[in-house]
Amino acid sequence: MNKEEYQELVLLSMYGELAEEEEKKLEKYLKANPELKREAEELLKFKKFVSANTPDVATDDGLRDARRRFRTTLRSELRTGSFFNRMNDQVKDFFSTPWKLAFGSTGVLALGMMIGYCSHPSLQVDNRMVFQPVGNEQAASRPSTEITNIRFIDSDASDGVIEFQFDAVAPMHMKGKIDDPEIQRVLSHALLNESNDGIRLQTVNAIAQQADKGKFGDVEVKKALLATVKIDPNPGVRREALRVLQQYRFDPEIRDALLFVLAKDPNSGMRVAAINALDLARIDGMTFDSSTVTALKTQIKKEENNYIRNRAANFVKEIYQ
Amino acid sequence: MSPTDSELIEQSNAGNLAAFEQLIYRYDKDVFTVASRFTQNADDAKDIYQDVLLRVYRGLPTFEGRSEFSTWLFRITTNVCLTYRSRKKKTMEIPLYGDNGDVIEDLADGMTADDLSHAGDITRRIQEAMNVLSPRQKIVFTLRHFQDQKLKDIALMMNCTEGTVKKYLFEATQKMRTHLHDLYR
Repeated sequence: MNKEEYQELVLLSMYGELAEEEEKKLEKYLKANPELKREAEELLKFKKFVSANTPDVATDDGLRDARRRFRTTLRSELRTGSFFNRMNDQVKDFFSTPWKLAFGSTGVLALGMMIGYCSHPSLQVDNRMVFQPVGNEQAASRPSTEITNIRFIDSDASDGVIEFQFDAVAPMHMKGKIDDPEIQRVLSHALLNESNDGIRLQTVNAIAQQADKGKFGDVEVKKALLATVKIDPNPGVRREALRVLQQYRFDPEIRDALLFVLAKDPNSGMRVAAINALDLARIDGMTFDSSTVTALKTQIKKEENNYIRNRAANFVKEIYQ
Repeated sequence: MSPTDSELIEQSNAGNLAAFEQLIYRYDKDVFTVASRFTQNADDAKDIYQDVLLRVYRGLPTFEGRSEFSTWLFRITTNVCLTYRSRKKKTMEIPLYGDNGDVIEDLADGMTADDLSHAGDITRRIQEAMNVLSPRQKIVFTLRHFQDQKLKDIALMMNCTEGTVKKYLFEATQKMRTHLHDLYR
């Protein structure tokens, strides 16, 4: 073993990564080599110094903010469906290792050449695309469009080219039947993303009016309602979303949403509505599995509200009968 | 009794968002800490956190359980860190080498730890020293030194041999020592 290998052993020993036998061997070597022993001591000082002087950069506030941002993104993911994102990830993953990149590049090159050959028999090269903005640039050029949240991808202008993303917010006006898929898409978005409580309540009311007539929104609307009942900050909006969901055909998604409300909602009125909704579903002949019973038993133990506790206990009793 | 990771994964895959949140909240603090240590920038750390958890969410149906969920999660975290391009790239890349590759020795300008009276100065010096490391050296140092992850686990996360991880740790430590020797000796 040379000196550098012993130095490596010293480092590994410091991190507790050596086997007992290796430790003994190192100890023996250090006794005979004061120079390396000094280095081992210095290394220990270094380790302590770095640990003592590196503040915990991950603050609780930072984590809370990261979680909040992630929840918003996840809601958006649930809303828009993840097909394109999965495709995007798969493409990214495909190019994530060098050999894949090499094969991928060759494949893309071959495909590109073939397409180019077929579509441009004269083989003239058109470089205009290189200088065109990427994305929805037309929206940005409208005078009424508000440009926000500019994010530079490459701000280094030394090569004369920069790249950035931005949000182009343009006012839109829509009028149409409430069962129009486009209208429903906007309603779902409003339900999940609108910051104004009143607008979210109006949105859920609009959906409710249709549900009262037996007309239910598409799957996106249902997803939005399921998310709203769990995470909307306004109890009024959550309550109305729960009321609409009760008019849908009862299924495991709705059951889970109700159990979630029962377990997590801080508003006792919401929890009462949730246990009542579950009980109504039971009366309507819906069956519940053992996981529901387990969840309810847990709730019985921790619930502070007597009424909810009794209703939950009664519910469990009824299921077992 | 709280549900196991496998149970929560099963529930998440059945569309139970609450189960997914319960699952990730068991580990997300570590994800955020690694990202924060690695980037030394709160905004970048939040970007990485978001990217990692979205990948987990999208990839969960394909997770076969051949490794622990936490190992898989940290493998994704490591990959995202290594491929992440900082939004504040220029502020992160503080040049510590001269054009000929020599270390710029006058960073501390001959000051000792006593001279650097403000604790922030020492912290800044450590951050600068971290920025000298290559991304792989930095992630290994972060995971081993700050997160107390075992080398064999880091090797699993980085999909490389334990020997390679040891090499990165050794190189990282040597570089850090070179840049900080005037402060801790």
